[in-house]
Amino acid sequence: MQNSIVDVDCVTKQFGKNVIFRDCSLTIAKGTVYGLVGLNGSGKTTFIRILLGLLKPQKGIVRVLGHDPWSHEPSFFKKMGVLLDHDGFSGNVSARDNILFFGKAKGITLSQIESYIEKQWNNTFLHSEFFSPKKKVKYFSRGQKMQCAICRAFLGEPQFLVLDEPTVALDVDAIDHFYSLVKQARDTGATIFISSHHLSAIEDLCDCVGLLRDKTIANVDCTHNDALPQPWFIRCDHDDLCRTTIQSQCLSPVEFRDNAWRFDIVNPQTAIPAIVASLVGKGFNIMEVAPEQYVLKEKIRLHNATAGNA
Amino acid sequence: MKDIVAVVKKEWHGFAGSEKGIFAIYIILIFVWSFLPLNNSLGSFALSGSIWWLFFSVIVTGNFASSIFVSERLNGSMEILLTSGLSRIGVLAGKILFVVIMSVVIGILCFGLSLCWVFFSGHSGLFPGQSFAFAFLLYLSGTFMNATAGAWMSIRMSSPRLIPFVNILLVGIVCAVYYALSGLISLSSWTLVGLLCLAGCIFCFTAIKDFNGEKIIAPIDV
Repeated sequence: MQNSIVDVDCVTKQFGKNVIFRDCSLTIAKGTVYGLVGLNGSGKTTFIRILLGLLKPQKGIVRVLGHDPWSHEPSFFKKMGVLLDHDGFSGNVSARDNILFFGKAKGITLSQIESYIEKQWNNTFLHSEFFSPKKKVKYFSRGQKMQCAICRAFLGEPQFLVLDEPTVALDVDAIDHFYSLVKQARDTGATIFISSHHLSAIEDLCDCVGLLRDKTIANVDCTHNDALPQPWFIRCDHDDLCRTTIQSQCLSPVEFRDNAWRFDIVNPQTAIPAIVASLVGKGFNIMEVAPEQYVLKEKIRLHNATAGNA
Repeated sequence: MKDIVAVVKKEWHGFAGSEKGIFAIYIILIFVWSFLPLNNSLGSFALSGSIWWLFFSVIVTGNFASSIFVSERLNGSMEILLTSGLSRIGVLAGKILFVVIMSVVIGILCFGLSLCWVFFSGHSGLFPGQSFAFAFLLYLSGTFMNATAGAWMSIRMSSPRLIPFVNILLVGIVCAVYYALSGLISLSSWTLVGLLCLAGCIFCFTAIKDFNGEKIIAPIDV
């Protein structure tokens, strides 16, 4: 229990007669990167607001970092890093002034802030905007504002980070940078809670994934088990002989979709080289062989289907 | 106290970084309104100079309250501020204090300009029957009430952009109560200042209560 950062026990939240969660429970262990997914309107933002003490549940107990978030203790928020759907910056001032304000609100000194920017944000637009501000935040692009918000969230090495849709509007470099920040934070023992519709980001970063559905959070099994079928694809000639060759190695149906043969396979470490060798032996040209990137998506669909049948 | 100062500084930086047109509007407002006491002393339409100052506070404070309290709720950045590590009471008090400071500064500029006009026009009495100090105190008490009412209404009203209009209504109600009471019993003019301060304290209390509740992040109309 002492090792958990988030303890949500039998929480019920409703707005009027509209029940958002009923007896919802969740525990997040220290050092975990937890991903929360769910359909639009399923209550992800409401759940985040409960974790942040912005909303109070009608029933149940919420403990984050050992605090009751609803007590609104400044010491609690000083240990947190928060990224919500709005950047929260004052548009009429520079990124530097904004970051300094939020840094000082957390009790971080100027030299610590400068050292953080120098170390973590070198070679980014934010580095130059911090050390030689040129424009007000309101003139930043959406992606630039999001990077500033990410910078603020990771400022001061928070023990617990709550990140709502952190990859929205980010370019490829910024996403890579964000990934590296998350991994560094995890390595230093921080616990991270990410809510996103970008399943690839959740899949890449998260150790545990929760699915918000039917007014509760269900854990999605994200462990890679070679004994279970895993989706793969092979991009090669559209020939029926290809299908039969692949089919001979796997039990699931093989289908040609989006210019590739797609199938589920058990124990890919040995099965995939065998299929490739067989295809090459039959004279087919192979352009690409890779696991499907939508494993989580499929698992969520499977979970939804199971829950629907039940 | 540290949190209050931090919020006042933040709001000041935000205001100072505004477009130049905003400052031009405030300068014009101060310039135009500064002629009212002169009109009063010349025996024109302004029946009571002090009450005009009270309504000037509605315009200035209502406008500041609308931008300081409402804009953050409209764009959703209030949630970030509340989770920044500052105390909620510090955030609220800092915002109210900033609105009061700005209103007082603008009031002082306007009062000063009015004195210049009166001096150059050769009229010795600025507000017939009432002292300059009373008029300024009335302005201050009106500012306090409008700032705290603005803070409270920004949370309670689903359309907080209407704050300046509701402020006019509130000032009108307090004045009406004062005149109704003074019709029944003999009251000093200072009672009006007292009523405004009392209303300000009540709104301050309700604002603190609601600022700690869920309504602070409830969606609002543009």
